[in-house]
Amino acid sequence: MGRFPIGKPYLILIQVSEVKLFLSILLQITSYRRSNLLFFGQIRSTQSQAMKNLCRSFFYLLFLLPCTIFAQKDALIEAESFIDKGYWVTDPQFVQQMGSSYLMAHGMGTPVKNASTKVAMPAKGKYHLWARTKNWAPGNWEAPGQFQIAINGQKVNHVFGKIPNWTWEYAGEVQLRSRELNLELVDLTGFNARCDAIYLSKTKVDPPQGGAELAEWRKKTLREPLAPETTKTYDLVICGGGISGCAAAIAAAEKGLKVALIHDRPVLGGNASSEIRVHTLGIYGKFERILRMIDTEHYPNGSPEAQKDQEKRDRNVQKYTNIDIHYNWRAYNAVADSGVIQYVDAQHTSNGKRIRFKAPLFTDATGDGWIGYWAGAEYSYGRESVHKYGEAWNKWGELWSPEEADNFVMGSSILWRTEVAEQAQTFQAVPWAVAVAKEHKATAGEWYWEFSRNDLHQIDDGEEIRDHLLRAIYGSFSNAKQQPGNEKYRLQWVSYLLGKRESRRLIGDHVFTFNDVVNHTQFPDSVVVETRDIDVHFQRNLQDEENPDFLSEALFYKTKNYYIPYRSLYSRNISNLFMAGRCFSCSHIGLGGPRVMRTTGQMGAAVGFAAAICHKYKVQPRAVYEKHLQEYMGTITAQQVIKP
Amino acid sequence: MLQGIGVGALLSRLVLLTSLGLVLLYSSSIELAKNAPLHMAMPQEYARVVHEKMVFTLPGTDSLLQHQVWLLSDAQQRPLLYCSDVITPVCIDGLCKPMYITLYWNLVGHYVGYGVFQDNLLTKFDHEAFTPTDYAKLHTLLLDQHSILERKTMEDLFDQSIAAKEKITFNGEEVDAVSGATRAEIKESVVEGALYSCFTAWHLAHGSIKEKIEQHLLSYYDPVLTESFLKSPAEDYQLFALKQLDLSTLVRLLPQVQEIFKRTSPGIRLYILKKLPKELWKDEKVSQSFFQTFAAVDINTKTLLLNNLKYAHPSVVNSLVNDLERMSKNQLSTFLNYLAENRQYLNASVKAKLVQTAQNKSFAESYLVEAFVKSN
Repeated sequence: MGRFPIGKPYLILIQVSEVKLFLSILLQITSYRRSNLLFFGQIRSTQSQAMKNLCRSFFYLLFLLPCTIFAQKDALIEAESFIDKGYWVTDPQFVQQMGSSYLMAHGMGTPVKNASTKVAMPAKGKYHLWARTKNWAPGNWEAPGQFQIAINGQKVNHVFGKIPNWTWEYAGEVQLRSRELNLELVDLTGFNARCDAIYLSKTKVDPPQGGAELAEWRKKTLREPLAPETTKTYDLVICGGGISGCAAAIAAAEKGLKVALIHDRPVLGGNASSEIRVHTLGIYGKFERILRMIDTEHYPNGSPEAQKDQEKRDRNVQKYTNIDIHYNWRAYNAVADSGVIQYVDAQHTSNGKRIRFKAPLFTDATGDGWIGYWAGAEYSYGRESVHKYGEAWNKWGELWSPEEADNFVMGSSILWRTEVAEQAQTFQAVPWAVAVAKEHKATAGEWYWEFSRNDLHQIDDGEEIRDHLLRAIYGSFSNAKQQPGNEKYRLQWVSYLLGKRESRRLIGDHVFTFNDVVNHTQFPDSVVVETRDIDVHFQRNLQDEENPDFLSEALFYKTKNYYIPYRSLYSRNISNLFMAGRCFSCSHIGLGGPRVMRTTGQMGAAVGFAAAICHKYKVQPRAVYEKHLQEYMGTITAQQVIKP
Repeated sequence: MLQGIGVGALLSRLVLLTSLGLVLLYSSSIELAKNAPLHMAMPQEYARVVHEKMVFTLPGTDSLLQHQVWLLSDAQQRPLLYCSDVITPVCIDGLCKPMYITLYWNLVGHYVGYGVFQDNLLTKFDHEAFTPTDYAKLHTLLLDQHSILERKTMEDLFDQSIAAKEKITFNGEEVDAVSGATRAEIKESVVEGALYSCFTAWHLAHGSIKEKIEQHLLSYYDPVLTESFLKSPAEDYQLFALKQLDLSTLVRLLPQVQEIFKRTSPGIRLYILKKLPKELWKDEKVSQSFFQTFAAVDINTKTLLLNNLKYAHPSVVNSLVNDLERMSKNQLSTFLNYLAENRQYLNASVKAKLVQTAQNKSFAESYLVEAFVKSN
């Protein structure tokens, strides 16, 4: 073995003997049988699919192996399935928009450690190489996120990340002298380079760039079955492990239900998690005991103190043996028949495996109302006309509730934090951030680092919103660093997960509005109580366009107790769907108060206990209100901690 | 012991309120506002004041106090401003002392300035006189409609002063027990040593007065005021006038509305575009007058203009096509979708411009135009 010169477009790699290859494949098969994992990692090539088939019969393998290997012409390797992700992060936030989880080099300006994986190729020889990636801040400057691919330790002579929009960026031809590859993603900038997948093919045909065509191609190339191969059945399936989802799971589990909690992150808590770090606000209502297990201290937003509450929360939910927490699983479909959800399909955010979740009852705690959306639940988005529910507040007029409906919802935030080092710290110029940050200078973030714009949808354009906020943060910090006195500041932490405030709101039998707050309406099914001000936000640049477009202002309506009825927590037209959290049934203004996390936690707990009634009587959510209200409210009231 | 202090504080408060009541009773016979503004955001209006008239009373922070609100007007009795001499207790931890200030509001009820009583100047740290900088800072604070003080109660401020003493340490770094940003924001916006006076003054300037003044304004609001508001540089006047316009008046005053559109804030531009009846867009002149501003207006207004493209006169396509590089990705998609559905407007010059933009690789979204050109 020796070193070979590398030059575009050819890459010469170490040659491996046929015998070694054969043995390695046998090893893979053995491993596959044992652990259902590929020995060489999560290559999701046509070969790996062949391996599954081969496992069924060793003799079948002996016949098929040669033709399987040599007939295959390509390999699709999902970046998020890399065995060692180095310090690249898995980003599953925008699967529904760009087609996949991806790896991102979120190094706050310092290139991150390589991600790497092992791949067994179908055959050696020349391959065309692509990576699906994106220049996330295109313009007349060097792209902020750039990376290279290294094969068996040698970098391919192509820098990725320079083309706007998600694209299969072609790197030329590489010569593979071995079938065993060690693939690495080499970050060059530390500023959020991203890689969805790598594609190696004997033929130079660009894969489809996006949309349904790409999804179809992906399925075909990965030979994915039409439906998930695994089906799991529960009493209640909860999608979303934020505070409301956790509370729902605990409440239902305490009543003996077998619960699946599907969450697309490695930690529970959503906006309150150590990954986003918003402190929980609002009161406990009747659910103090449950909510104290999962809420946070009133730490400053963005504080690393979030970690302590994170550990508490995960520990407390995990102790319920009848809650099956599916960390890193993201739901991608929900199918309803005659207004009844039959199942929810979810995919692992790294290894791509899929599970079908069946249950008589489902809870949408996804925030974005995805389960309802897929199942065909009625929903609203945007600010209603002031006339729709009569939500005028003369003091703020159009800023509060517009005469004509629009899509100016509250925005999303990225929290961030700096620290003061002992020595002076440099921070490089970020020309790609100037167009967003302009002259703004900052050494800290807060809740009002928030972005909403009327051409952007908080779900469909989530990635652009996140990237805009990253530019705002890096640009403002870079500006601040030019100021005398700021020499020792350095970035300590910048989230890459959007803290969303508002998007889809599923419609229930009752739509909670401003009037329910103003009138302090008490309902027979009041399950949530709150005293927090209504607090709706608008972008500062609406009043003065000289203001940065990523800063918001809050409008407060002070109030005494207000109540949310149970009827706002299940879908009007999908009969077995609950919702808890910010996708509950409310108007834009109605969301303004109860969108904070102790309040959404109350909703979750109320849903969990309602699910228990449904389970007990084999009924659907509406029947809890219509037929079992007394028993249900008794359960809720019994939760209240009576302090001596 | 504790109880004794409480009773003492209560008594001192009662004595104070009684004396304040007497002062008010006495001052009610004074016909003119006593104190000219020390700081005033609308000096031209104030300079024209000739007449004053007491128009209604405003409950103070304490129900025993009623403040008289005066309408100031010019020689022709046209209304200019509102003002009120305010004497109100500022209470800290059970101890109260009066604060004397004259507040000024514009005709739609927004704070515009304040004056002081020369014999009762504002103080900080109990007895120190306000400096000129302090007075200016108070004005800046009062002008801020969205001050952090709005969200706070007196108790919050008091608790915070305690909480601020308790620091917690995390990884060797000291952070405030309460949100550091909140404390910093409060400190930055108020006069140091006069937090409670600032708090009281802000809530008087921005409390129920706005709605009271607006109600009063509506009692005499007329076409002369409408025109004057529409011509005013004050955006709150513009918005008030625009909101009152019925459709026929809107059409009649359209040139003035178009003028406002060019120079006003994004929020008001959006309101105008929403209010404009869709059928008006068919008129080529109307369409052109709005779409000609496309390059100059903010991005949110651009979105709304493009959303109205389907109602607009088709001639606007010829000018819009020159501004493709100013559009966001979604705005560009809106425009290109419109062209795809209205291919009759794809004339030679429009096509040429599209091709040129598709080739402009320094334009980040040129790939969208390129795809459009290829498929059309």
